[in-house]
Amino acid sequence: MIIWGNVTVYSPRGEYQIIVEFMEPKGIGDLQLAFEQLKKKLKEEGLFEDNFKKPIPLLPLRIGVVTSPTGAAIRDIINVITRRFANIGIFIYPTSVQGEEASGEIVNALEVANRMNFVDVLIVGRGGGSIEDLFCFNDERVARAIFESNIPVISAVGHETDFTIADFVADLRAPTPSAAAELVIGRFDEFVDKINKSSMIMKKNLISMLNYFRVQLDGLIMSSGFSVPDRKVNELVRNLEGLDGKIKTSISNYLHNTIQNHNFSRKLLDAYNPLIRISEEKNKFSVLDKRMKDFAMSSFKNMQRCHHEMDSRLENADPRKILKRGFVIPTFETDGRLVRSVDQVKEKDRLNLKFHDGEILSRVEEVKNG
Amino acid sequence: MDEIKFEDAMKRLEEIVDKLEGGELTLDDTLNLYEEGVKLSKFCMQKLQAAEKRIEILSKDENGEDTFQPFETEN
Repeated sequence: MIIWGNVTVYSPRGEYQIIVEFMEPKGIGDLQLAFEQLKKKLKEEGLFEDNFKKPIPLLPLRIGVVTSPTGAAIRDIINVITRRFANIGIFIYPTSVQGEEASGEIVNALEVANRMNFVDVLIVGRGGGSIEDLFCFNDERVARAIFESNIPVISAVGHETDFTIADFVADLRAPTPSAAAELVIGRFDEFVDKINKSSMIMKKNLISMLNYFRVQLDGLIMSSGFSVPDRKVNELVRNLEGLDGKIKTSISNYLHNTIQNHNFSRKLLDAYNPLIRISEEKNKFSVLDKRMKDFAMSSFKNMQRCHHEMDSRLENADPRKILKRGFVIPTFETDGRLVRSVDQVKEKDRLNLKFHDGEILSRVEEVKNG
Repeated sequence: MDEIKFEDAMKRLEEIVDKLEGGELTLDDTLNLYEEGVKLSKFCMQKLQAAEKRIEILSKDENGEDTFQPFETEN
């Protein structure tokens, strides 16, 4: 180092102090030279170009870390992520980060990570140190392995001011391992924030939109354009109510009439009800029947009486009865003629006198006229 | 909804918010955008919470294969 400044003495303790005004490295060391040369070479090749840089995924759920499992870098990364309670998987690809083997191990780890293709993003780094300590991150093979990685790489080497070749070629440079972790997790919070804010904004806008439309609608409803039709509607409603009443009345009238008609028809029908006619005819018939029977009976009695009468008259007319009472039937003996008058008889005529219990043959002696 | 990438969902969500804030939308558009936005924000939140918290280190198993095993931290 070359230092410019004022030298002072602190007399109570007898100490020398230098108040530094300017300081610069004494010459350019081998490592520094190699760094500058490689940087120039890779830059000319285009390895640092922005258009080769892959975007870091918005939501890396699995983070690969290529670093020493015992170093400060991994401890810082785990601390940051644990402190933030982020649900993120951390997958360590262990390497040494200084010494002879470091470069080869880092290159190998990058290859393994890409072959496994398990993580969404890779953090490659270590804690700060001297340019010698950071040598492996200035190694050309490491630089090319970072460039070749299909998984986006975040470089995280040393403290703030240390730049390495890896920083230039990585897709994103984080000044420290903690910062790399913050870059990844910080976005989680950012997203949660953004989503919550989005939801709020959407809701707010929807509500104000709805209010706007409601006000517009109210205005329209209150406008005369709507209130006039409203009157019309009311009028129509009243008309309808009138019609309704009329319809109801006419229906009830109709029903009333129909019922009356029905009752009348029923009476009419009753009048012609065959059952009634039948019973009437039955009555008539039974009257006739009785009359006929009565008539027959009386006729029969009459006839009986007549018969008795005839019988007794016949009995009276029987000539034998007359004969019994002492009368005689005279007939001519010659021809049997009945003698009805004395004029028919002459003296000496032989007459048969018939009595009820026999006959007497007699001769007329004398004829006397009555 | 599952086929949508988180990145695309976030982008669309931002678009929707911009549109809603821009105004000059019909009520139907507003309602449709709101519905879509709510779905997207739900989807994004789920994605954010779906990740699993674990810390593992690559090691060789007995067959010499690379596998991840739980990483013991000092604290």
